[in-house]
Amino acid sequence: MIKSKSKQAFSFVEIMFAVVCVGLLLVPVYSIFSQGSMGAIQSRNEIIAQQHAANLLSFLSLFPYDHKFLNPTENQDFKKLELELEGEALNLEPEAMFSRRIAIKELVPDAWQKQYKLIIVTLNWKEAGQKERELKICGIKFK
Amino acid sequence: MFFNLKKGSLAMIILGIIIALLLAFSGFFRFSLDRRYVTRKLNRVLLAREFSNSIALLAAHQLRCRHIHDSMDSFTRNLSTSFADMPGHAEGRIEFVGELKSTIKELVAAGSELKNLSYRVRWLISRKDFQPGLAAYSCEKTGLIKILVETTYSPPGFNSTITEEYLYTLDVVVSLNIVPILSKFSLYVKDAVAGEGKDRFNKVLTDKSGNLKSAQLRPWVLQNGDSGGKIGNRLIDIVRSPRGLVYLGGGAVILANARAWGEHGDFSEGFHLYKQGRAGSMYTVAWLGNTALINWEAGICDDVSEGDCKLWHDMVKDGFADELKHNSTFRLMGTDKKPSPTLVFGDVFTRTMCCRIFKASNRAFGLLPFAGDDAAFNHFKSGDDPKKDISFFISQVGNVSRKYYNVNYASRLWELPYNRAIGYLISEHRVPDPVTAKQLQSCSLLQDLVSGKAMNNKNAHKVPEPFDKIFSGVSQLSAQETILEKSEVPGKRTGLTLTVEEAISLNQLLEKEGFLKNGKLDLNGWLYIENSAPMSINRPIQLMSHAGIVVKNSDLTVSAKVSSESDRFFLNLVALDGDVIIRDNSAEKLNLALTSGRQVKIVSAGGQPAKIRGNMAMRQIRAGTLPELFASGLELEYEEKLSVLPFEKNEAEQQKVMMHFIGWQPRLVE
Repeated sequence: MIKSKSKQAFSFVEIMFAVVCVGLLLVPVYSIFSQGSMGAIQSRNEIIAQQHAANLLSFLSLFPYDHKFLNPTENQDFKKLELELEGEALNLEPEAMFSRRIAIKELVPDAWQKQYKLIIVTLNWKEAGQKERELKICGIKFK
Repeated sequence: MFFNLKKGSLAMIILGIIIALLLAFSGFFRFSLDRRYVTRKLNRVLLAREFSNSIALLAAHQLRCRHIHDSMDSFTRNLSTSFADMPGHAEGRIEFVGELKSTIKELVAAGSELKNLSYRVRWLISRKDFQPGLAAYSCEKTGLIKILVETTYSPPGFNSTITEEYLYTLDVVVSLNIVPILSKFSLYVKDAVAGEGKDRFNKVLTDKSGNLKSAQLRPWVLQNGDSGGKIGNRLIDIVRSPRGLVYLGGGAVILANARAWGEHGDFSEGFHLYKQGRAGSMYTVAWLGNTALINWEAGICDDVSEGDCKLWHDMVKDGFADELKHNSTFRLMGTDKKPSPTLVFGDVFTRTMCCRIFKASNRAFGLLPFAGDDAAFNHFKSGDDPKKDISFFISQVGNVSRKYYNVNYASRLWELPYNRAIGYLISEHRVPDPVTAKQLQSCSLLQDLVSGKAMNNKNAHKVPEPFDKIFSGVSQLSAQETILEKSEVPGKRTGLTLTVEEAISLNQLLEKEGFLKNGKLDLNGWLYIENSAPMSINRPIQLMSHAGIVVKNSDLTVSAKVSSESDRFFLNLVALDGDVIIRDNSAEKLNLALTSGRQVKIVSAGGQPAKIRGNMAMRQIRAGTLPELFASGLELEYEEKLSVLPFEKNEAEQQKVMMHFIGWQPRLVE
């Protein structure tokens, strides 16, 4: 009987060895992919956080100086923000992972024609497995 | 060998795939890392922009509330100069000092996300950003000033710094606190007659010295500025001096002169007459052969008790009973205690009591009384009455009729051009007829005004030079509506326009807009209000800069003090279609220039005359309003700053009434 040399196959052990090697080599690859994905998520969250903070700051800037929403406060949670215009509702509430706080400080310079309110909007959020993050944006209102 | 090569190929393929994956995901990781960096940097940029916005806002406020009040500040000097002389480009640093320093500190602390944060702020003024205002006043302009905010901070993860520049603009309107043409007048009344006849203002009763006999009506006394300055003998010099003029239009108006015998009273006007109407003021007006016909004028008073007064009264009483006692509710040129001569435009006459005397010799002289009827005339001619004996006179002139005698020779009440007083003042009472004696330098218009010819040829109603060139097509003083329309408020001189639909006081509105705080008003520009309800100043205001307020509809009432330290500033109030009503009972001086499209009213100030330093212009003194208007009187002192001349190259005068209206909110140039 003539044996065909081209029909020699891999043994089970060799395949297992190859699979283990491939697996080990794919770990850093996966880790890099994972890091990249995490970075993309963080970027997304930062942009969303900045938008939410900017929205809230713009919204507060629309109020008259003496409006109750602009009463001086240390750190007040600002959970829900919904606008209604001609029956249409616009919900500006952020995702559950974000929490917003506002601090308003009144500044009355002596012998000055104007007085000011410093509005600080702080957004906090935490991504899975990461430490808590914070974004702060401030604006000024006068009368 | 072939077998080994194939086995090795598989490993190579797998290795290649893994390397390819590694490279791809490394690239993805790098991309993700870059995106995170860019995102964080973008966030910082946005934080920096919000910070710059706040800095720009505070810089704008500092320019408005501090820099602009310092005339030596380079910002103010560059902004105040005439449009033609504006710099091509000027800039300066804005340093936050004093009041805003603590605010800035809080702002920087709140921006702690930006590491190593610092900033620099500059103002920029360029002529190309401005348009000229009214051509007559070269310093007026509109445009914008720029604020450049340079913010420097460290981006995340780097020690180097990023510097960003943000450019903001701020609208500015530079204007003068005047209503062109009208502000040159201490008192302007487009229609002073209002259908009540030319005698309507002769309602005041004084004694022979000029003190009030009745508390019923009290005159308005004008002080027309240029105090202590002698009135010039050229029209152009009078108009160009810082002196307020007077215009009473609407038809002929007679203002009876107040007698000034003895010690000068509060309201006497002797200085209007030749040698003040006192002894020695007789002058010859004609020669009838050898007989001189002599005038001796005196003012009007309600005093017939005592000898001379009774005699004068008797000379004219038969022809002028109604007009014998009352003099005018106006003292347009001040009083004997404080004369303030000026030019009075319009068909305005003064009324005096002219006692006529004939004199042929030291023995042949006598009085010429007015003959009320033929019986009286015959009695005078008969010589039976030694005090009223005209027999000698008739023998000289012939047997004339009573009418001829009364018109040409008799004592009478006499109406003469009001500006005749100017002639006497210019000539220092040396000549009885300053016009024909050529005391007035040959200036036909001034001569016409003094002699009265200007009323016939309508020059008494023309806007005097150089004010007649401010608005093309406006040559008549009666064109008040056109003047107000062309004054560009509303228009390009307006700093701010507000629409007010609720009933709100001016104090509340100004506080709401941030111009008034703790009773101190810093408006520094023209404010135009489109309102539906009357507006009022009901709490005291102290002016920190010039201010102009124009109200479109309804009345404007002032019932509180409006003041300025050392009379430095004044508030110009204009009611385009309503009355301006002064209802202040404190009798303290108000720094107000008042213009009304209807009437300025002074409501009783508790028995004391109101005191206004400014000017008054109105369309009409309405029929039936005189008793209330003149109940307590008025002391109107012309604010000389209002007389700023047009088409002048010297900016210093313009700068005395200059306003710089700068907006509160800068705009980011995207």
